Amino acid sequence: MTHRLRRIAGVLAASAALLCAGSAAAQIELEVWHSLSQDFGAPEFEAFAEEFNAVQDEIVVNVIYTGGYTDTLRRAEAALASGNPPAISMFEQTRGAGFVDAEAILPLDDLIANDPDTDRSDFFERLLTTCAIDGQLWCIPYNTSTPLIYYNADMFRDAGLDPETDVPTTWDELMEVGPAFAQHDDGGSLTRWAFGMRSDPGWMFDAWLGQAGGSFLNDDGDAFVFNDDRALEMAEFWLRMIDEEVAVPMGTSQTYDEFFAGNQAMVFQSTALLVSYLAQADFDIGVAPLWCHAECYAPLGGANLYIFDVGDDEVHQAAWEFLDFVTSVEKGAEFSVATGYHAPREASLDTDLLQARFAEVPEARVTYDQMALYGSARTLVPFWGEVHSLLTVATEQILLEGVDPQTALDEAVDEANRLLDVFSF
Amino acid sequence: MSEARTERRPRAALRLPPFGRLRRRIGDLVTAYLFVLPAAAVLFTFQYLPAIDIFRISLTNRLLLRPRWGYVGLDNYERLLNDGRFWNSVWNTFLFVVGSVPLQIALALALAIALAGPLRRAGFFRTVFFLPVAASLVGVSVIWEWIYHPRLGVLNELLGMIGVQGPNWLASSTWAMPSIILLVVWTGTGYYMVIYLAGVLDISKEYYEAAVLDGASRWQQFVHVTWPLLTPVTYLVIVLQVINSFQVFTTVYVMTGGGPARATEVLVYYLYQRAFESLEFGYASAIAVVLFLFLAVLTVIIRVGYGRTVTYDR
Amino acid sequence: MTVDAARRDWRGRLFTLLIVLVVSVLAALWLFPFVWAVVVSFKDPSEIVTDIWALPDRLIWDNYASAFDGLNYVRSLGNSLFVATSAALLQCVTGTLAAYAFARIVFPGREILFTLFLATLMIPTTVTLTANFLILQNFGWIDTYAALIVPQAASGFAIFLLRQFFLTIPNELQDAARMDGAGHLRFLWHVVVPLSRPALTTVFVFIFITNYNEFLWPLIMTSSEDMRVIQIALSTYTATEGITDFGPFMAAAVLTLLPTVILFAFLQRAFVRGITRTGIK
Repeated sequence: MTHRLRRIAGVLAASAALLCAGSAAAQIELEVWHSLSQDFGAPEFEAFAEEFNAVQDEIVVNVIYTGGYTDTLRRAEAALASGNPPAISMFEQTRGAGFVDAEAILPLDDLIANDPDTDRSDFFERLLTTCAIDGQLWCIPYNTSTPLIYYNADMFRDAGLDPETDVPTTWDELMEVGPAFAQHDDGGSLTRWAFGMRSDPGWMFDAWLGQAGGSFLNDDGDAFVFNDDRALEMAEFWLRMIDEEVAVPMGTSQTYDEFFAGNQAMVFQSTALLVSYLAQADFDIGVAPLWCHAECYAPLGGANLYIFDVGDDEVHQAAWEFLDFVTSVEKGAEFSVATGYHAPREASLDTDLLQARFAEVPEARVTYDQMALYGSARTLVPFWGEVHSLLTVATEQILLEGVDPQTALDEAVDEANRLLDVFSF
Repeated sequence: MSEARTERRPRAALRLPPFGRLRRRIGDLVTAYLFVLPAAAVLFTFQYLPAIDIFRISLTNRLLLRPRWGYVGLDNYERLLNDGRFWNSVWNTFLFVVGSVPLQIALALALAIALAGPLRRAGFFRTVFFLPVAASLVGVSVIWEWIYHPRLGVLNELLGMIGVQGPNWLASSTWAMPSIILLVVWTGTGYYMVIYLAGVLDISKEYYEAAVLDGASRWQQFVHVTWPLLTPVTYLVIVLQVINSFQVFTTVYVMTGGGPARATEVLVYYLYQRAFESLEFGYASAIAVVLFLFLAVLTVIIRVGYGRTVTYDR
Repeated sequence: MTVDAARRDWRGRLFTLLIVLVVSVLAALWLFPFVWAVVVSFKDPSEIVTDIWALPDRLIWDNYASAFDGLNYVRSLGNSLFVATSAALLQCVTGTLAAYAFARIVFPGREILFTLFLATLMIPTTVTLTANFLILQNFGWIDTYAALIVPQAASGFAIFLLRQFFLTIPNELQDAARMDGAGHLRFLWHVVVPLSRPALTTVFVFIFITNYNEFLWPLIMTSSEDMRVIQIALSTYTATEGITDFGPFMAAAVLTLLPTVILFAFLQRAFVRGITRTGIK
């Protein structure tokens, strides 16, 4: 009797242990943080995750919207500080480097190399550069974009220009056609103009600087040089645009307001807003690649997906499988159609989905061409947030405060170099 | 601070045998320490410990997220000396203090006298002036952002009526600081008014009656009775204002983000930027230490400056 | 003599009238932002742009609907009320206990301890932010309610204010209680606390309002949307899009200001007492 009972108890215990072990092996739970709002891909991304959970049963992905780029950044900093980072997080282009610097991110080179179905070369080469730091790959490009010129074709015609041929492709052309837009009221103030020059330029500083042939860091990456002759040429050009009434300096949101109010012929905006801008404009709207000068240059914006190093290979592998899944050729195409962001893999371009999209909305292709030709990674330093604000201040000083460009840029470069020094231990 | 030293010592009124008294004293001791313990734990952990710790952190090159760090001696302080942005923030804080403190004191005192005198029964006014004190700074900043809006704001609309083209208040490096000062005067005056009001109401009627008999005018009454008798209150108000003003942050964060071109970047905002934007905890702690010392020295200076003239006769 | 007095009387009245006039104008200026925020919060976006002074044609509740969503109002308000209430209650408890010990018990170290407690008022919170962040990080409390509540669970202000009040309680009461064999805890609970209701109300209201309005601390110590208190929600909401959306923004500001303004309207005396008794914020 007691013997039998003991045996039953033994069997029960063994099966319970098996069950536990079984479920533990079957279920790896991954928390995935993202910054995609409802209009910018959240429904698609969440649907991908659901599908991923449905097609296999070893990994359960839990997708969490952690607010915009800055909110996600702050939240990840806090999570890291308190020691529970998520498995995967999305970081804006310039903000992932801080987490790499914090030794919190897993390099992906080995995971990709060990994956028989995926090759590094599947991804757009230029997009991969946004994840490359010190010769290693730290993220997978996901919702990336480039800025475009959005123009009001009606205003071009009004000004006696042809929107097919006269949208400027270089700085010089901008200066040629720009004055045609200028109109004044009785008091002599400008009521219509060609272009809204952002006084808080954000990533457009990268664009201007790159077009001038300059760069933030020198080739060795040990000093900031955005106060050299190239950068000065850029700043002088800004002032010339304003001087000759081609451009008016203003805050970013105002550049959009004035564009849609029909006061301003051209504005810089991300390709991610293509769909909403096409719908929003009550005039004939078009898009064009950014203009060039010494070089053609388009900064890569948007965000990428990072795997946190949590010291558990199984979790890392599971996280990679999810990344592989959401960046697949089909999913990438689907995401690109829904949002206007680039698909991460080149083969997505050949899918029926994207081909149909390009046929229907030819403007959607502009960013792909621009990205493939001269899309460039942002500067990947851990303290970019500070450099960003230095650039804002310098630009405000130059455009609005009448500070001499050399002085303003020197000051920003000095400060940036000091930060480089602070972070160099 | 204005603590009245009028405490009564509990009398050892009960005659207890010596042994019982000792037991009671031990009991009292244990009870007292147990009672004090919860507050002591909180205050020690979140006030004293960090106040001491900032000195230690300020000697490191600690970056919040980077696991490795070390002690760097006084490097951070050396860097402070040559940090133009730091001195700019000191200057901006100074402008803010100079712009807001006297204005608030004058206004608070004038209102207190008016509300203590002719309008004593009009509690409504007290409530109105005091209301912004209870309101959140973020909330009122959002409201004032709209008041200051160049095209849609009330301020420029009013100026337009008298034919003046108002500036883009918060986006102008000339006007942003005055705009913030004006908002702070609006939010803060009621607080100091209440302190003054208590002080004014405390002044005995006899002084004024005597002054009137001497034929003193209202202004003379103010200069010779009210103002001198309010000296301790004024001292308190100045100390509080300076300490509060040096810590201005929320309005700047919400309305200007320190801009344009750093025209409103005050000390605490700069500290915040260093600590929580570029995550330079070591350097930010050095700024905090300097701020701490500034405040301590200022309090002492005000104390000494006022100590001589403080009249406690009331 | 009578002519003189009459003239003085006449001048006095004129003077009073002048003061009333000036103070009234100032009061109107002081009230205006609140009143106008409410007015604008009911206006249609196009009305806001076209005519600044016009009253709304009809009450638009859309602005409130947008603000409600944008603030995630239920959650963020709930967070704020929870945090502010907890902190205020805890301060009443820790403050009462400590203040009682300082006011009613003679024990070695009392003066030094009290001075140390009071001296915390001279440590500005902005100064200790970095170190406090690291302390909370060590506790694993970053982005939790504990980070918002526990550090606010005691203050020199509450202890000082309550002690001042407890000192006024007659010794005879304590002696009588002791004769009855009541210990400190019983005396505290049955005599001191009921007698100190006004002081406790003051502490509660003051700490509640201070914590409800606190911005910098939660800005630094929390980051997830679940933990977001209403002040952070408001600043995030109004900072996201272009800043011409004043209808919803004013609605959001009104929604944020409402709880403390209501509380203040009811408990103004207690709040003011907190300031005048101690002159400490």
